[in-house]
Amino acid sequence: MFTTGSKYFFGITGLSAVALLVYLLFVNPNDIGAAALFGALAGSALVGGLTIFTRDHDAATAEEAVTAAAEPVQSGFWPIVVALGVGVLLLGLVSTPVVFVLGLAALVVGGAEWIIADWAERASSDNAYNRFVRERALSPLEFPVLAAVGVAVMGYSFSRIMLAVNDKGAPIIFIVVAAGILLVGSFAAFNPSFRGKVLATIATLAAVVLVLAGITGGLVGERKELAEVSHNKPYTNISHTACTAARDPFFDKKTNQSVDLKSAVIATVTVKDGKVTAQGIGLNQDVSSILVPRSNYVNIKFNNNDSNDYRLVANLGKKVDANTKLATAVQSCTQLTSNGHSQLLTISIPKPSIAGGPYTLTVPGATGEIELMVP
Amino acid sequence: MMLRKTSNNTETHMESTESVTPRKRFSSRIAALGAGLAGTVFLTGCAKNAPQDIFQPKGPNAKSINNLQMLVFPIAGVVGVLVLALAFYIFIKFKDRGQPIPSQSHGKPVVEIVLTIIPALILSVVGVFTFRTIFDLAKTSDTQMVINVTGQQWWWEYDYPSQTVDGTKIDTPIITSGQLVLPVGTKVLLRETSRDVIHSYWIPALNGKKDAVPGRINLLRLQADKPGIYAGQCTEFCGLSHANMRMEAVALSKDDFAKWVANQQATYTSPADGTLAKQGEAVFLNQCIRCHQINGLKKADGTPAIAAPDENVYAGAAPNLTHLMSRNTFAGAMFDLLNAQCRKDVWGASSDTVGAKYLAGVSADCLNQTDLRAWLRNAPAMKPMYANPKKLGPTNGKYRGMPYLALSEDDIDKVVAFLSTLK
Repeated sequence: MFTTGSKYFFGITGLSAVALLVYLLFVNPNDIGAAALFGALAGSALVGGLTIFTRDHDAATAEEAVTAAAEPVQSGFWPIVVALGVGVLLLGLVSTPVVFVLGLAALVVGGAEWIIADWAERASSDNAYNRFVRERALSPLEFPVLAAVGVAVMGYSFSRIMLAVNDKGAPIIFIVVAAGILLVGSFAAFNPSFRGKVLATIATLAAVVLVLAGITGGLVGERKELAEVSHNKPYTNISHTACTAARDPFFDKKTNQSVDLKSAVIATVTVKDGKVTAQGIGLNQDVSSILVPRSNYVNIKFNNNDSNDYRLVANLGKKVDANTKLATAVQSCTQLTSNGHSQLLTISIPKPSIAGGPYTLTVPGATGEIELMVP
Repeated sequence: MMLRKTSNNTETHMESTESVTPRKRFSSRIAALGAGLAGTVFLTGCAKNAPQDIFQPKGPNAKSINNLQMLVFPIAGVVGVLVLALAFYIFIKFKDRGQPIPSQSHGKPVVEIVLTIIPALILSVVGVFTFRTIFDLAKTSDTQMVINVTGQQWWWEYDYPSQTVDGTKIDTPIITSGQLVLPVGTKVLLRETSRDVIHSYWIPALNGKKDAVPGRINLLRLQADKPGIYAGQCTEFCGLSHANMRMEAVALSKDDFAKWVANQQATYTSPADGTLAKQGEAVFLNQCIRCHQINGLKKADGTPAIAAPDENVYAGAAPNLTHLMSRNTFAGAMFDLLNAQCRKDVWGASSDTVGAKYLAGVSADCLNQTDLRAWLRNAPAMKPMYANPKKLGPTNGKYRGMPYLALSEDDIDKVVAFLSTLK
């Protein structure tokens, strides 16, 4: 049986459906407006359904379902949340989208809570029953949302901590925290008396500490090397600043990691005694040029048989910025490779040599140059 | 048919005719159908015009495979016939006719041991020869020439790196498609890869098949004993026009190969001003250059004309047309550039004359204008491709295959005239 509350929400559902249809057909089916209308449709349908389930279902007649409201129970704080949401939303309109979204979220949550609470207070003349109705309507929403928010806050806090501490301290923190959780969990499992308030207190304290530490980590900021990488942005999809003879503190980490690929390389480039040579697969003789199929990824293996550290660099022409008209070198390179080790360079060149060439392979600090030919 | 004599003899005879004869007739038809199919299959082995016949090797690699299959096929055939005959015998002999179940016993050690040892011996013999052949075919240490082979939906590209082959020097890389040209008697190593999906390269007369896999370089060696044209086909299902992804290997004598190399390295010559071909060059620069490269072709301002297939084609490349008329085929070797008579003349030539005929290229008299014009008029109608501009969402607006260009008949005349100059 439909009562005033469910009719109201189903009315909103119908209007949302019509609006969504009009929007999809005549405005734009791909932008956020369609998503927002769909959200309104789904939300109102859900609440309407919950209304029927929690109230109408228990009502014997329509008259009983709309019995006189009990005396107001207490003053609610949801109107404050709604007001705050409106304020933040307006602030977001003139500042950043993040603030706008936060305000919108507060507005939606506060509004929904306020409406349901108000409706529940009028469900019957029995306040206990009204509380029961309210919880029955909102608990399935509140608990998952609060849990998700809690997990997000703790995850975000933990990430701030891990980004702030150095790379040696991070594993220790991981181990200690994981071991602590395991210990407390095990203790609680074997000691029933330990559960309840004690466990809740420990969990609350841990959450508070985590959030405080996360705030602190966020204020301290990322550790030095991460901050430099993210701010300087040395690695773009075009080139990076590390294709020189110098050792890059980040790009060249763990350079003694080596590859030994034999079946999928089109050529091998070797540096020995400061000189660069190349062999194409199959011919077993030194070549001065390597032919690379156009628009196709190929692997070139770089062997360092020299006592110094070197890297292989593919010089792939220049790219002119459409706005600044400045030309920048397009390069791709291996890590700095130590004696006796190998690295793999994977490249794809979309234009023929006559367009952007000559493309070359060089080893900064060593003599010799191998031409990369694209027919 | 046996008829029982009864008091109502006639009636019994009629019943027998109606109930037994149709069954027998059905069996006869099945037998005739089976015999017909078997005969057809048998007779296909007699086909003379079978360019992809795996029993006609024309090079040492294919001969190695043929030698192996000449050993394995008879053994497998005898074993297969014996097993099937025995199975049929058992099916019929022990068919359920309501007889009591025979006494059950477990194991006949002598039979089991014999039936284990015989297959093991057969497999050992086959295995020894198979592994030896596999290792022989994988040998690359004595390679004399390398060619990059790149598969793409639905054609093959051949890139010849700079190298010296039997005294013939390839100074600047050669790029061609459809027809692989190689010198006779030279151990040629193909470095196979793919730009989009897995393809498989197979010239049955010269070697077995080898997959072309994106991101990998797979090696396949070809060697031809005599000059000739050897047909092949992609043998890994690769999409809509897989069946139309063909290729040919053209084996030339060393002298003819040197001439072919010299021609491929010749610089581009623009058609004379005022000719139809010159107008065709302009149409090409306006339309075709978006995907097809012609090395040496220049724009009106004198700068090199650079094709941009990476912006229009899903896999990032389209056939290079620099010396199109030195090939005999186009569109992934699906269509002939030679008309029927000239094609017959080249394909039917002896090993002594095929080189000269092939090097003559496609003359104006021999050009297959019908198919070339139809291709330019509406390529997707000639070969199934993903070329519907309304269905390119999954590829971000890029084509797989050649699209419909809406060329006018005048433009087609001009483009054909221009392409005819690309010797």
